[in-house]
Amino acid sequence: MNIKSAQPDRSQAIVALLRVVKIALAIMVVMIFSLGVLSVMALEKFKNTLNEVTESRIGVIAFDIKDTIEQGLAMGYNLAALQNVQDAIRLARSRDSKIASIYVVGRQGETLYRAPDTAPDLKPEAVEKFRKESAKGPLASLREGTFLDAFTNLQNSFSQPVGVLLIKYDAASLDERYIDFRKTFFRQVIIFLFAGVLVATIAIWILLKRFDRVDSILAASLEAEVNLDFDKSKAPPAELAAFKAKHREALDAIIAAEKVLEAR
Amino acid sequence: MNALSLRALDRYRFLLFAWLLAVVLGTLTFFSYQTTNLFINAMRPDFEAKAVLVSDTIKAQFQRASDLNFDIADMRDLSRFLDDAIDNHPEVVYAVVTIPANRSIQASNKFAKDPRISSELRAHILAKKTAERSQSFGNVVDVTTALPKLGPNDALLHVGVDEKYIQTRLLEIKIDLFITLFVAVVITLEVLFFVVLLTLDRQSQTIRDFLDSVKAGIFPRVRTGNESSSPLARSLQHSIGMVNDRYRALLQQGAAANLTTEPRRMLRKLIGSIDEKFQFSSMRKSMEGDATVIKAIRLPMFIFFFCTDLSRPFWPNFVGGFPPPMAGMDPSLLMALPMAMWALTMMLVTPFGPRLVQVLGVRKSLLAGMVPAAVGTLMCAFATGYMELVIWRCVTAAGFGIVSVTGILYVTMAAQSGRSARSAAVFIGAQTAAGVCGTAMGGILADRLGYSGTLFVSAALIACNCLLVARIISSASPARVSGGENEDEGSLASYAKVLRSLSFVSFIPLAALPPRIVLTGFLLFMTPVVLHNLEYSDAAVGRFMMCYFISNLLFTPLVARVLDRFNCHRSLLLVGSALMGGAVLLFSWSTLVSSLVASMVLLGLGMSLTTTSLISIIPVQFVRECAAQGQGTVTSLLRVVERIGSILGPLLVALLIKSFGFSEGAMILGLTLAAIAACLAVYFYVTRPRILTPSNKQASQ
Repeated sequence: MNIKSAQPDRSQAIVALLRVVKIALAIMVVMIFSLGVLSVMALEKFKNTLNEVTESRIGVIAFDIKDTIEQGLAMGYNLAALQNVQDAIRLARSRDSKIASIYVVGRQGETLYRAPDTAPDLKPEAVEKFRKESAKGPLASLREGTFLDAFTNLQNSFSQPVGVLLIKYDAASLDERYIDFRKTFFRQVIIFLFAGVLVATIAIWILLKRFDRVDSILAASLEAEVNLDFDKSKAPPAELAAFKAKHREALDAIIAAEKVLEAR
Repeated sequence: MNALSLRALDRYRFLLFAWLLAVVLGTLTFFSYQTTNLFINAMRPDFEAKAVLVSDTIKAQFQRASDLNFDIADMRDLSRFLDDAIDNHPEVVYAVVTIPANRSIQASNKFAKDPRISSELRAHILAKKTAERSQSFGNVVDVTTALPKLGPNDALLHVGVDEKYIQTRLLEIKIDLFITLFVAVVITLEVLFFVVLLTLDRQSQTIRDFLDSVKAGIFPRVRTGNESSSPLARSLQHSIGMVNDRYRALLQQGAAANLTTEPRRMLRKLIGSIDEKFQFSSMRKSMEGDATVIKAIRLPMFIFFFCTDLSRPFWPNFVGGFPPPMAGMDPSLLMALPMAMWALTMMLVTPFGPRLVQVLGVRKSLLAGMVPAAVGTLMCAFATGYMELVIWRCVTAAGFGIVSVTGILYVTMAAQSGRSARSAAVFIGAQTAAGVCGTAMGGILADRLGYSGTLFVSAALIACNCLLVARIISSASPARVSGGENEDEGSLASYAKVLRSLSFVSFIPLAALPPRIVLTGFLLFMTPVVLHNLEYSDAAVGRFMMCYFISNLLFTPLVARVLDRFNCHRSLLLVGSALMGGAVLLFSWSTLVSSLVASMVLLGLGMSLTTTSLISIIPVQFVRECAAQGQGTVTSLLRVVERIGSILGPLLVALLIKSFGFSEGAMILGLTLAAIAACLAVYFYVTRPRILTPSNKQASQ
């Protein structure tokens, strides 16, 4: 079969090109959407996991301090009178460089202990909020600006709340890690999008070209017969043969009638 | 014989579809793989740092004891202390303190019981004399630390970290990525179907239309200026146009010519014989194949269901956020009322579907449903009070009901005989795929944009979908073309007549109601409640439910093919009903993850068997009713009845849970479904089509 014999003309080439562009654009939209959904999901998951692991690490430190304080309270000491708390929170702070400050707040909202000593005072409304939130579970957390505030209730041996332990964690480092991860991710998305669309466009181009060639060859074989210029090398496929037979039959009937008119 | 044929065009069309799908799927899969690797590299140091922190915390406790000059030999209840120390840290398997000098050991309770701790590891812990480095035993990494001096002997602290825990966390991430990937692929498939349909399917269809038409002796009128981009189609158009022109010229010349009697008679005879055999410049509408027509509706239906399903994951929470209209209103009732009103409105609207399609045609009916759905969704987003929300939800439900019934009528009436199940599968497939994608995407969007923002996006997408419908759905829809035989079709009188049929009425509780009760009562209500009760997280519940949707999505086209091939509607409906019962029973008997997953997969298979068979069984099972009142009437009546099942489902299941508890309630539901399946078998036996043998023919006469 002489495929090259059926070359499309210029306008057909433009139509074919537009069709390739149309499908490639559709694929690009699908890829942008799919990669976008995957990225949003993955970034969200990364952020959540990072926060979760960080909170759980803060939790290890918080529960350690809480145990120390509550052991003292169990011995009958007053929270304000416990002497080992200041050392405990100072030591705990030294275990993670991202811990900005640790506070132990009394029942009235007064700051009893803090590390470092230079840590700013807590606002009364913030303390009130921590107290309310800490009642909800063993370790609650709130994001306040660049800080992640993790807090837990301190209880005496009768399970009465006597204060709140607050750990202020510098969440800016988490944000930086998230931004770094997002940048790497974005680069990856661009590469995959470009590669995917490129491969898809090449596939579309090749397959549509072949599709059009088959179409052109079939058209050529049809025209050869219709124009009574039958060439055996362009023998039509079975599907077209039935069309041609019927077409020929109709044309012959019309020609027969035309001959009557011509003969008048 | 030339090897080239029209099949080559079909082959390239298929290849294009397959290649594009492979490229998109390959890209997304590789992207997901890379994402997982990025995750592992980014998160591993955090997990390891936590393990070290736990170890340091325990060590610090011992340091305090050392500062107070305690002797480790005097420490009582050390096991309890170690237990407390590792409590709340699921990745830590054990904490053990050993004194190598006298081979004594104090361990957390987990150490004795945990199957992950091998005998080799136990021997290693006892034999270890110095804290040199961490060592792996299976999936457990033993981190050894020297404790501060506590008495005369040195003590070692062993903390076991489960390496698999990190993998478990990553597995969750992988599952989420897989779900997102699945959603993306489903959406890709829908778009690809549409793109290939618009570019190549229609082109092939035009060629086949011309060939079939001329083979039947019909030379359709070819409109100028509407030429195809395909050379073959243009060639066919040209050939047909040429014959049409010559015939027209022949008629004109014949009329104008001054012929004597004999040639006139001869010409008339010849033209008469031509007219007998052929039709020229036929005004007959191009018979666009049913496959193309049906496929054309898939994308708009998918987008519409996708939009409405976006609110599924957060709707109860969204409703719960509104202040109750009456003081003391039960919160669960507050959440359930809009859902019940949704089902009720749909039930009331559905009967008007066939009449609407008859009067307006499919395109306008779809638009008549989509516009109120978009407005209702938009107004729900801006609702300021509970009652306002309920009213707008009802408007949305009315639109949803119209679109739903129009869609199902469109595909069933456009289908060629023998392909009705596959056509129904197009509708069900679009609905299920949209259910999977909408639910997953709704959660993501709600997290990012909030509830109102997500509803706004949903309304905007429905509005865009209206434009798509106006562009791609033909105004002369198949339903309209085939309609008009029964003037009563869709009227209340025709519904009443169908309801007089004992066969139809018996069919309702046996086949139409159970799938809906199972869907709304068991899957959407009981499953989340029971799984939450088993302390599964929201994400885990979502994953279990996804198993159902994925199974349903995968099995529906397969079931449709089997149905169309073997015409075994009754058997598949029966098997589907029994499987649903089995799935519910399996759910009630075991709480193992594998059993729960199997239950969801079975339920998906059962539901795909019943829902696909239910739509396509109508013309087979209710031949007389369809002939008398129209297939549209019977179909829409069945849809109405199904809605009753949707309303009853949660109420019945709530009653079962209240009376018998979760497990027993599920078991009773499963047994009831199995019993209903048995009754359905009896029903099919009684109403089976009878073959007239000479003896019973005589008897009937």
